[in-house]
Amino acid sequence: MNFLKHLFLPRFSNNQRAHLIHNQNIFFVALLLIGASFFITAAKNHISGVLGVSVNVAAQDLLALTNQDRANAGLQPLQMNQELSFAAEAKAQDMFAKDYWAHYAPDGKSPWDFIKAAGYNYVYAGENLARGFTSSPDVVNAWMASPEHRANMLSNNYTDVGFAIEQGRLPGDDNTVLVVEMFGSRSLGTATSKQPPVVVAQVTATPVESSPSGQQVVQKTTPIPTLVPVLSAVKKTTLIDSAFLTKTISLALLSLFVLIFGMDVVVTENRKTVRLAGHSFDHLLFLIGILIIAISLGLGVVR
Amino acid sequence: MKKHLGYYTSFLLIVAASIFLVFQNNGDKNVVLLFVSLFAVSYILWGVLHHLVHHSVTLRIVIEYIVVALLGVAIIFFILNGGI
Repeated sequence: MNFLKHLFLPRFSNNQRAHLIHNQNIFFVALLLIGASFFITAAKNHISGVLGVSVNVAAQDLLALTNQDRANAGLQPLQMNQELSFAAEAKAQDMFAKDYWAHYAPDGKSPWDFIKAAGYNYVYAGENLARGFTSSPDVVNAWMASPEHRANMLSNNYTDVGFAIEQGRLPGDDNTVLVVEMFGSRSLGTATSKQPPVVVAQVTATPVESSPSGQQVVQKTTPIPTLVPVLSAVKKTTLIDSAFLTKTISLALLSLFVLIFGMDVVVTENRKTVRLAGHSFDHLLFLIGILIIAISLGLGVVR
Repeated sequence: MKKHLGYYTSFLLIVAASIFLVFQNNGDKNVVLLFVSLFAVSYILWGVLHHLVHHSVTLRIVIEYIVVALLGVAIIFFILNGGI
């Protein structure tokens, strides 16, 4: 019991500062974490079946979840469309090849270019992007939580959808899971709904192209050269999920240090202890900031 | 406590700005690490400045702020390396 007090509470035996928050011990923990980080990176490359990130994102699941949300909103289900899936796949490959993460490529290529190139002559079209997610429900939940993406998911302008799920390198991440969702419809008003029309989101276009005279232009379509799987998926199971492992350890460690610094603040304040040291209250605030950041990491992002 | 109000308000702004910037760039590991490192450096400078103005500064106190900042960066680095 005395040993635990020595570790966690300021008292005479630890010079009025919990032993675990002595400078050398904090430094030791930090070094240990940095060393473990390099070990995990190496292990993920060499024994990926044992230690790595478990991923299960599949087009079929994304379609089912999207249609479930549409059904809840009283909308007709979307149909999986091969051309839109080709377009999504081409867009994903383009992002990997040109190293960008955006609706518009650095060369100005738009999502609509990919859709047209895949042979889908749309009246309405839209695109949702996601990266860094490890499960299909997480992707769909994140889209539904974002007003612009939700508007696409629940738009009654669309009848068709296509997905591409790919793993690769994007800016800032050497190995991320990328999801591209392309929506479309070939005609006006084919989708029926109990809901009023949804406002078209930023990532959506209604580009019925017109000539200066106002006549509709027939869009030239160029089929993409290679066949790609329509129902793409990234599924990977590892013995130990490194994402879960590192986040759990980190949150546990952070909570421990927050607790110790918190107790230090309370005890030294109560005892009016005079020490020549930094303010534990400052460290507490900093570590709470880090804790909030740590909780947010690995949740994936949508665009 | 009143004389510290300005310091703590400024520090809370640094914390809020750092969290906001990380949230905005959550998918980009390098940018996240950059903002967390900037947060840590700001914390060290703020802590040392605070002691310089209102208390006394010793090497040990400076080291204390550095190791706590290092711990914060190390934890984020650890999570980023374990993730996808």
